[in-house]
Amino acid sequence: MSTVSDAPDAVLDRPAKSRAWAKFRAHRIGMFGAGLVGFFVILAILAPILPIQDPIATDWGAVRQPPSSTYWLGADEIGRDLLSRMIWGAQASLLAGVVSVGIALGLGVPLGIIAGYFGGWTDAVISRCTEALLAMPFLILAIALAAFLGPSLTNAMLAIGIAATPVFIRITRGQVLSVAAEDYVESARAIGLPTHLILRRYILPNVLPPILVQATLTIATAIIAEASLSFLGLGQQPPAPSWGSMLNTAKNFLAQAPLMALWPGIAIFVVVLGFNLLGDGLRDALDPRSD
Amino acid sequence: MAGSGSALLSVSGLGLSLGEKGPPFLRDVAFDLQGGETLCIVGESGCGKSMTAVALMGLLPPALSRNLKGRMVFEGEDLSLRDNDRLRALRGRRIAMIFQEPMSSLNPVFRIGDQIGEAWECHNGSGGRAKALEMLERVGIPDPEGRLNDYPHQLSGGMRQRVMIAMALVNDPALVIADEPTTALDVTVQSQILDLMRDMQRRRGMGMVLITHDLGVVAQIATRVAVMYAGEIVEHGTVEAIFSDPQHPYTIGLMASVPPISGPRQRLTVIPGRVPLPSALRPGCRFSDRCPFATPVCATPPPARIFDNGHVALCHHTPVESLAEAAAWA
Repeated sequence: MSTVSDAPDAVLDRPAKSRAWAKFRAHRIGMFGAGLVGFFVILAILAPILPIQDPIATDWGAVRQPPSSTYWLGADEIGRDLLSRMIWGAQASLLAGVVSVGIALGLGVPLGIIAGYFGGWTDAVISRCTEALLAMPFLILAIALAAFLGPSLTNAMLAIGIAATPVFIRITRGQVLSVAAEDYVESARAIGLPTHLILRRYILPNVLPPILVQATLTIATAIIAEASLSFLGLGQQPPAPSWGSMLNTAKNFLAQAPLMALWPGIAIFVVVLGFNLLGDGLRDALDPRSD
Repeated sequence: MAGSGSALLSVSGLGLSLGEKGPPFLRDVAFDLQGGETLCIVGESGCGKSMTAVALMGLLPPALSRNLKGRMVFEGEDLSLRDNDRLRALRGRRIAMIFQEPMSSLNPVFRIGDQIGEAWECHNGSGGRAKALEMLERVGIPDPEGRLNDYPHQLSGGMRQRVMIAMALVNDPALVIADEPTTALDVTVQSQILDLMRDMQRRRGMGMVLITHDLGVVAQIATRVAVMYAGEIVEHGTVEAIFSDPQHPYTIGLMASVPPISGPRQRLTVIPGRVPLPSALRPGCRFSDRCPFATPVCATPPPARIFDNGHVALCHHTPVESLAEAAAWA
């Protein structure tokens, strides 16, 4: 017995986690995305200790200055260092992306699991509400919510998070429908596991991979949404730096100081690209069919 | 435990239909089981074997369980099969189930040691890992310490079924319901698993309900046999009685369709037709449209003819003279 069944097992002897990781590492574009994201994350985390200038300190002698040895990316309309504002702005953008997606996950995944697992009336109510929210364009919904909650970065994150929730309810519900039909869920019921444990230990971990991919892609959308809200004055409030509000002021000086608009534009573009590529890589790595 | 008259499990009047007045999938299924006994429920696909098992576990989907009828007396406790709370409390602790598909019946994201341990801990609190190790040893998994931390995909089908058995038996249940536990395995592994199950059963005096369509398995492991057809138990008796003296035409047909291991090769005998859909069921004998002995009287409900040793067959035409009579089949 042991000799017969040990042989094929030895071949299969590879931990599950490292398989997805190996696939991801071999995914060049995904790794590139991860690199871009990592770069901005490190910048954002290190913002307080980097030898950069105070992002809100003004220098009236440097108003709208082009890049120089003092102001590497130039200075804005009241002489604040653009490099410093970009790095601190990265913090606001990434925070907004991660926190709002966190909110969307925290609301959407439990609701989706409940809808998918229990079905019936619960599902009908949750699904109809989801569809009603999905009928509204994401950004319009976020703007309406942010305007309703009042302008601040926290409220903007909350608004974006709520606006992004229906997508997660949908995806989670769909995944739960397929996972709940798996034999191992029935065998969990057969060993007498209470429902909350089945949901937590059998349903949740098995529905996570596609949700993780969607979360990564949604961070990119959320960053754009945060920039849009800040651009409209509903997000980060001056003088605190944010890429969106930087773009807003820069649009007034496009002829005199185009670089003021260029930097935040490039930064938003690159970060969003990074998250999208990362999401693609994760999708390929976590998809069991792409072996 | 197996005192005379006090069965471990006694099921009566188990019926299930689709909707209030819908056609019945299961009609008046009833059987007794003593501790240490193995009851095999046999029948072809779609005859209601698995449905019976799932109903006993209280695992029917809510839409179906609304129309479930019947009671069971288990370890002296009389309960309705619709008492889901009570059934859940028994499930895993006193009644365990082994499933057909070992490949998909384990949670892919947990180590097997944790899964077996969880089955223990959800009824007993703590000490799951130690118990898991003990169970892995008992079900004969080589290098149990090393296997404890394996994920299900690292194990072969036979090993996974051993893990499933370990999970089912970890709480020392009085009754195990096994739904085609060996169907998905290859033949050599099948007999190892059957040996293991029989061994565990003997050591613990468990009652076992084994659902299968494999008559070879039945001959190997059964104490008694219940033959199901279209949601009814049409014949019920000891394994010797069923194999040597089958009385219901359906049982005779099943026996005749097993390929002989010796003798001249010939075309396999088949029972013409297929199990009727519940919607196509007629009153009277459900097998009559496929039965070579059918006569007009078969349109009325067949009587339960009782032979010695608790051998019962549901047919107007029993007793059948001999197997020779059944040879006219093909």
